[in-house]
Amino acid sequence: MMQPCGVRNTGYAQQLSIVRTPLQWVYLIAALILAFCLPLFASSYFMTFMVYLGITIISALGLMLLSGYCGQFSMGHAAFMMVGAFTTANLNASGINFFIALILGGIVAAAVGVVFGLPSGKVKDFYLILSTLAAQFIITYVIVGWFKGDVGVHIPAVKVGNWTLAHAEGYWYLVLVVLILMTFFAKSITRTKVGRAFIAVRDNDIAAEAMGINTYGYKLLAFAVGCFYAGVAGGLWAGFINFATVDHYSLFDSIWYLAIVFVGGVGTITGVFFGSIFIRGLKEIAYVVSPLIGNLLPPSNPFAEGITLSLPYFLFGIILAVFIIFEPRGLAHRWELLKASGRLWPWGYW
Amino acid sequence: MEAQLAQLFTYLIPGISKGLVYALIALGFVLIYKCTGIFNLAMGEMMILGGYLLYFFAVQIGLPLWAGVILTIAAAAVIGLATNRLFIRPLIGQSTNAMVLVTLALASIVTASVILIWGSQTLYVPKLFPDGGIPIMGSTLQWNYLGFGGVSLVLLVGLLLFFRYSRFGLSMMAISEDQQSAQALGVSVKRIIEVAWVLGISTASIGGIMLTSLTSVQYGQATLGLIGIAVALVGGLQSMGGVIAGGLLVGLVQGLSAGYLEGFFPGSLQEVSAYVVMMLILLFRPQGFFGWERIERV
Repeated sequence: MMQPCGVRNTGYAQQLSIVRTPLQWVYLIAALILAFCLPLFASSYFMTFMVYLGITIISALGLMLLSGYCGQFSMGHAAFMMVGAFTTANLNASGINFFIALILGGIVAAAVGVVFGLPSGKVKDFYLILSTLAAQFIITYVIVGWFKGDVGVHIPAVKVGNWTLAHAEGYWYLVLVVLILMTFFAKSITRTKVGRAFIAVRDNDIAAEAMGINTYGYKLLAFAVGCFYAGVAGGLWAGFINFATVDHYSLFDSIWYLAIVFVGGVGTITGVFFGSIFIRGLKEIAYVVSPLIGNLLPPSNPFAEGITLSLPYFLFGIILAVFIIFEPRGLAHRWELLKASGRLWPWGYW
Repeated sequence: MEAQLAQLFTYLIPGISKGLVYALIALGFVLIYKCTGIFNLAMGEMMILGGYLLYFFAVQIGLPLWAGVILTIAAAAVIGLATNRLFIRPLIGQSTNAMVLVTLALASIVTASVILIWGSQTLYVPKLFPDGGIPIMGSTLQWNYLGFGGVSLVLLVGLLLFFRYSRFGLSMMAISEDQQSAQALGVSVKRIIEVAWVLGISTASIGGIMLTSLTSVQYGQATLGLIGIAVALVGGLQSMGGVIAGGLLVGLVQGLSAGYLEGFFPGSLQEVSAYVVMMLILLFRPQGFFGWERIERV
């Protein structure tokens, strides 16, 4: 990792610390203050967007640990979110406190994730993707069949003490706290023994095994951790809209979580933030802009309805394609380049 | 006994014929995967596009059915060529992940075009074969199912012979084995990859024509194409012939679970049964029935 000129590591602990320089502390504290004050001046629409963004980031963090760090690509991430959402919703609807239900949702999702990660002992890459693809369909089927997935589960508004988190403004604080904890946890995993084992398994599993790393164990651990994140994110989503339904966790969503990981940059925690903001923002823009363009045509035009419906897909597809063709290493890589050139500016050497 | 046997037939025949169609889609998928190493996420969309194109040629323009089918396959071949030129070639030298992701973008673009041109409502494609069929043991073998099974089987066997005996097919196999050695021996990798895309997308669209004319066309059906992937896996990805066995197995399981197990489980077990088979195969025989066991393992 590149550091500003003059920053040296004088010990192992310093090399692993997240915040390195006084200026970074200033940035961090300013960002936290801004995040906590956001509901005071942002519109309700923007706060709703931010809540969804936060939930997306939490879920994508799990996928980043699983796929970006441990190299076990999952095409069923939304299904694991669904497990968390329905566990939380069903437990909460039967009278258990929301926060206990949320954690239980994460644990159940982790357990289900480990079950579908079992083939990772024998297969990898493409085959494992198929196992998680099977997870997407089988989990949807089970939840629709036995856990009221088709009609959905209603849950009451989330309460902290006497304070009801009814609106996006209130719920934002819950999401923000969970997000900070989860980000810290994810970042910490990546700088400990477990994280280094994940990276070793990703880069060369045979060499990792030869070094004495229990690869199967770490793969299953990655599934557990990644799906725990997904479960918590799913539970938070159900708590936010007071409803859990299988429609929100389709195969399409699973694939887009994978896209977030790639767009952000495989194997970077910052990449999750960039990727989530990029994809979520793109989705939001596509859904806001398309009706406007659709309305430009007279309603009698046969394409008017089609444009409104299809433009999100078009924008999505084309921007993603262009993005991959011109920026295949992800946004986090570009960010590092930007920071480096910013440090050297205007007297860079070249 | 007689009646039960007849009932068994009514479940088996659709299952087998659908299974063979899935095998065809799987073959296109395996072809692209083996020659290029790309997991083509747009396969389901390409398949559905075949159904829409047939609707366009046969219903909207009003051409005779056979002309519509030929034009659809030709159009699919052009789409395969364009995919390779516009999306895959610019990414040569990048990681496979980037290429897989670009097929995802492609899937999105195809869905968008379909909605834009044909709207989001369900369309009905004319049936390729006449109604009715051969009466056998109290039930009828419908021409549709027989026809699709037969056409798929002929195409599958034809393609397998092509890969086994023609010069071009053999160079395709060589590339899937080892790209660099094949190139060193004078095989044009660039051209073969192009042909792989054209063939792969064409077979997918043929599968799409058949599957959609059994029911109807709707862009949400693209997930059906994923069953083709399950089939490819059951047969073994290295084995082209395995897709037939895989298709038959998955088709049988689907047909039987639709017939006999539906009453005991909620929802439509038929759709999920293919994935249950796939999951079991992954757990207990990951190389599939006819694939090679890889010695390198962890």
